[in-house]
Amino acid sequence: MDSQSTAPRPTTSVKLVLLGEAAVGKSSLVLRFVSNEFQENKEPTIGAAFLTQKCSLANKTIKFEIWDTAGQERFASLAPMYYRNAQSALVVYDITKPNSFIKARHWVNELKAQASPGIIIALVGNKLDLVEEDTNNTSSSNDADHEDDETEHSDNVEDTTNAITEDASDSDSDVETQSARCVALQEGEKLAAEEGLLFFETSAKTGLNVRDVFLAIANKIPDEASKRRGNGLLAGSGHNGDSDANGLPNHDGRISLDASNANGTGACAC
Amino acid sequence: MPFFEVLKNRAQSQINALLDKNSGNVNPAGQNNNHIHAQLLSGAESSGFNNYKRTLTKDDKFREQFNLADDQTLIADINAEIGFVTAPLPDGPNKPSVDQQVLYSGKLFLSESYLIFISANEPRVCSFTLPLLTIKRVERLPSKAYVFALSIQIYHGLTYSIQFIGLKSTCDRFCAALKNQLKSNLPLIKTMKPFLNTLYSEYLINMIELKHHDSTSAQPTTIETPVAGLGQIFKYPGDARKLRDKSKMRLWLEYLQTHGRNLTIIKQATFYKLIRVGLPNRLRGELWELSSGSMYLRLSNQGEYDRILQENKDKHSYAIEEIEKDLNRSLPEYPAYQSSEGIERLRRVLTVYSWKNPDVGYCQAMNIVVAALLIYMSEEQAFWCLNNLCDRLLPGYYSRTMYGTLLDQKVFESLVEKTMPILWNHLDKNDVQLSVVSLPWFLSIFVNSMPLVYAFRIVDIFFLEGPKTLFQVALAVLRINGEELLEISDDGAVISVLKNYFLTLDLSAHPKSPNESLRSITRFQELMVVAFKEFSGISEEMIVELRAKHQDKILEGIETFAKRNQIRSLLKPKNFTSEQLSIVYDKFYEAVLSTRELDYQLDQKIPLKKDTHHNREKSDSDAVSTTAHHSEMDEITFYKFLSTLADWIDINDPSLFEPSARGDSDGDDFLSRLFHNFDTEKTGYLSLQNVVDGLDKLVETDLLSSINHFFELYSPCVEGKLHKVNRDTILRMSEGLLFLTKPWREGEKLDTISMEQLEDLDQKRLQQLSLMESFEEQNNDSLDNEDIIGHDDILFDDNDGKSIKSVKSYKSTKSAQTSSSISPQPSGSRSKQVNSNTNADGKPSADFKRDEENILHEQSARYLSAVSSFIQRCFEYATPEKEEVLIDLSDSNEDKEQEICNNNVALDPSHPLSIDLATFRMVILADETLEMFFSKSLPLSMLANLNNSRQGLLGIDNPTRFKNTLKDVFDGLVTDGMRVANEVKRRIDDGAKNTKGRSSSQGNNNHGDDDDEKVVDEDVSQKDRDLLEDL
Ligand SMILES: Nc1nc2c(ncn2[C@@H]2O[C@H](COP(=O)(O)OP(=O)(O)OP(=O)(O)O)[C@@H](O)[C@H]2O)c(=O)[nH]1
Ligand SMILES: [Mg+2]
Repeated sequence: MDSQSTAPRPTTSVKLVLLGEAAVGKSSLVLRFVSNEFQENKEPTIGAAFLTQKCSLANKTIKFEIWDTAGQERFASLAPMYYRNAQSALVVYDITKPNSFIKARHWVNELKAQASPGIIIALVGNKLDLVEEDTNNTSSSNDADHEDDETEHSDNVEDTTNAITEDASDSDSDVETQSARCVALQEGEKLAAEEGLLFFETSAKTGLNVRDVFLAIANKIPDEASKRRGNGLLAGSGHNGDSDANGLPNHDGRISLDASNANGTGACAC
Repeated sequence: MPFFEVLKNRAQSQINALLDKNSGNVNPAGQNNNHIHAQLLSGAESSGFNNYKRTLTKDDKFREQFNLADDQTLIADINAEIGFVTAPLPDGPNKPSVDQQVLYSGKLFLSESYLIFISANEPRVCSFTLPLLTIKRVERLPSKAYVFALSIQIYHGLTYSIQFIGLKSTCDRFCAALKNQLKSNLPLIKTMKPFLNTLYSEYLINMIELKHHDSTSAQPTTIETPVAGLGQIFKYPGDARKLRDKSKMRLWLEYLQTHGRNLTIIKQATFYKLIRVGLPNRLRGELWELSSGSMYLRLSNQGEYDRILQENKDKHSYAIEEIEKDLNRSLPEYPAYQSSEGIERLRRVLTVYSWKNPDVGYCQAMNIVVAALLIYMSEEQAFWCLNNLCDRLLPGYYSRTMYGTLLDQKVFESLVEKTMPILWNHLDKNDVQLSVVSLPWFLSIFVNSMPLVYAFRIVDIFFLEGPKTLFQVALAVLRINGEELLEISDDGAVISVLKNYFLTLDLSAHPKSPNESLRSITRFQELMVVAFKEFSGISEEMIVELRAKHQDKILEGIETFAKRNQIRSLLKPKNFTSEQLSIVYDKFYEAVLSTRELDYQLDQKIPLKKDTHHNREKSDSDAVSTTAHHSEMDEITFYKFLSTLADWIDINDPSLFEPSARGDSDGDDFLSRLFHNFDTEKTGYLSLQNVVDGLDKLVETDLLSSINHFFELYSPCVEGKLHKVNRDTILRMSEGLLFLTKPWREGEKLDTISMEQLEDLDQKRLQQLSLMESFEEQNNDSLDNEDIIGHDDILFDDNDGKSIKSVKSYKSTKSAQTSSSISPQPSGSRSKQVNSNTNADGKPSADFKRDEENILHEQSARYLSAVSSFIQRCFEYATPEKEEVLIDLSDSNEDKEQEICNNNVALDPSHPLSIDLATFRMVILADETLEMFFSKSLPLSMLANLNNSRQGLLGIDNPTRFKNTLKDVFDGLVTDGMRVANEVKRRIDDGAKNTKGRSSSQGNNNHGDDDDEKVVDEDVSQKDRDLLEDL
């Protein structure tokens, strides 16, 4: 992971698209990744924004061509324009907004059905800082809230969906930003496991885990893709699902954050 | 472009698939459907959509040309010459006013509220749109050269002279009309004063006049400053000195003093020039609303903004939620939007608009546009300006489907292709999607794409010139960056290049030029020149034409996308294929749309009231109520929808569709239960998901689930547990069964038992036919032979409605038929045989005909008896249970029950009873006909209708045709039904007893032996018949 190595590594261009409900923090994640900044009041993305960022790995350099899309429902019909030929996608939700998780589910479905086959998808629950108060036991306090969670190890999808829908209607009534976590870590993990996605919980505000998301994707990009992009090469890569192949956090986003947060910057030659 | 290609291809392949399925039968409705849906999806903006398509009436064109509101019509027009005399300038040297002798010839128009003039040939020479209420006085002028001349004095002193050209009668007519309109505008004059108080130009000139007066008379008068935009508090963007704001202001003041101000302004060449060079901060808002025409909207709707604001004060909506997300994210770098003052104004304008036009609600980018407007405008000004933007200037841009945005991107691409073919080919070759780059420009009128000061310069022109401005500027951006773009091969890089370009607009366009004046030209100036000189050929008509040209493709694409998405996002039903789902989707939206269309027509019939305020109020609330559920169906719509799938709903039954007549038909209770059962969220409306889920249960062929579902309709479900149902509800259930089984009772549909019997009959007939054939062959009777073959051709042709099967090929298809007799397809259509047989006069046919009739009779009888024994058995096995009754019966039900019980001895109220699900199941399973009905006849008939509706002919035409012919056959039968029912019932009961061997000891001690039971049965069913007749 030495950023200034002497040997010129091959550079692979990777098209990445961000999808997710309005105001979940897609643009903020990109801004954090690209310029390590955070803006409190980021303007909504109209149509889409485009940015690039290079990311150096041990044996190659990945150049991300990032398409940051508009989140509002009615812009959804434009989305195919942007995820066309994308090799990777971040499907982002806001862990304090249950509806955004439902949207995320839809986006995952849409990508699976319409985007290039073999697209690498990372599910990202953003705004982790808003629930950081109970940092040390995010998961345990969560279990207290949802008592069923512990017993419910079977993939009873319906139950989860119902739970979310109820939560959603609840939170509809109080508009103001509620800092309580509404989407349990386990729910994200479960969706990711079901669909074979990478999964992270992040904070664009603090920078927590943000780089890891992109690194994880970079690591999953097969080398051959460097020759030509978007011609189905990815379809053959059997990498889908085994996301901890690179020692990256898949099981619990919190483990990685300790490891990589402190020196996470070293990984990327920005 | 590739994006649209994808959409187009997708739509095309869908149509092809449709054609394939119909094996060459073009379904002419298919193509239109797409548009219907897209229109539906795009909601109320369909009015905007219609603008391209609909042939415009004379009034439409008139309103369009002059940016007038919908209540204006062209009352009269006439050729005329205009001259005007200005009031002397109150300050400064008394410049000679515009020469009174200069006359502009052109055309004069009169509408309800305006007198409009536009000069001939070149409209920019002279034009005005004068609200009649600003006219102080009209005088006849002595004139020799002209037949007729008038002098019109405006409230502020300016006088126009109008000299009519034309026949005297035409002039007379125009003047009479003018007089009339002036009169009817008299009461409105009082609304002018408060309106003028909101205008800075008015304030400015009054102040100057006041100063003038004050210097003579020492009476100091104060005039209230009109509400200004946020810029007045938070500073306007840009450096006022660099923008030469003061000199611009001076020039404008001069113009306003000589050409009239705000509502009464006369637009001449200087007016346009002054806008081109950029508007001064303080007048910008007012001139925006003046040149876009939203000032007139505001004039005729004074107070509406506040009214909507008050009316919806504490209300909540999804749009508001979306707005809240973006309030802090609108031009955040502008100081006003870091303060509550700015945020509050923005919130109010966006929210009020979302109430005013709930179909559009709120779309991201509106926040940016409105935030920009509010810098220069008051809330009310911005609000009406937004109205004008959404309705006229950016039609359909912010709609739910954003079809206007997509359409204009397509238009833009086609313009690029036409004007810059080399660049276009390059981008095309490299698969660059231009719209990815240009979409935000159009959606937010370049605000946010370039520095604010420059964006506002474009907005200045945009409001004056309309949508073509956006195309001109966008084209110019590409032209200027053309060389650089030619070296680029992906859309990401295109974005980067242009982003960089926009950030450097203040740099010199020719930094290396030795010529200093050339060096001093900024990139922005260059952009303006290229946009409006080089691309001056881009006209409004061209845009309209191109929109009309590409519109179908866009709507098709949107529809395909929406449908695909919506179907995918449905929680997957168990019993439908995706193809069937797609049909449900189509039918669902057809039904919703037809209701909406109906509502719309009703709306149109309401006579236009003079009291526009009241009228508006009404239509607004209507809009809210209907559009809030614009993709959901109400109860009546649901019945209509269901009738296309269910044979048991008679679309011609008025009682189902007219609320007034409801309540007295068998089906009412059942259908209403069905509706409320589907409506799981109890909203009173069914979403597509509701309908799909509900239908999924209805077509369930798993016997127990199917029975459970029927029971569920009648049983109150508490905490996931189905309760027992009481006596009254049992009767309701039997009504429901009667209603549901009607098509089978009346022989319109055949169930499996009858199908099998018919199969046997066919078999026999076939044998007999071959016998006959051989017999006839021997006799060489060719005539008879032909006759018979011909007859059978018809017979089998209609048999399954698809292929012609000769007698000879019948054998080979026999096996297929047997299997399909279990499946639903041929059910019902069989009955056609009866008809063709009636016409035939062959001896064997007559025999078979009788047999067939018998089968139908039997089926009918079976169903009647099934229902009657259902009631009987229910009562037999019901458990007396007091509490249940108390729980389940509301007061009204009790009354009803009382009434029924008085008429029916069997329903002794002193023995309340109820049955639970298990018993209900048992009762259904006890009857072969009902069992089959739940597992096959009912679900499969609906699936069959669903599948058939793909083929327009089969699904719609055929059934009604044979329904009518069958009516005659069964008329007698149905009236006779009860007698037959009893007869057959006995037989079937006997049979059932033998096969099922139900132990009679279970809960009934009445029946000692078979003979006794028979008597009792007859007795009970007699009572049941009374009951059925009573109900
Ligand atoms: N506390 C907190 N706020 C965040 C975080 N990420 C984003 N935000 C805030 O959430 C708001 C929306 O962020 P954006 O990045 O613009 O969201 P987006 O998903 O790009 O939104 P659209 O462009 O409208 O689709 C902004 O006000 C951000 O400051 C986060 O990790 N923590
Ligand atoms: Mg964004």
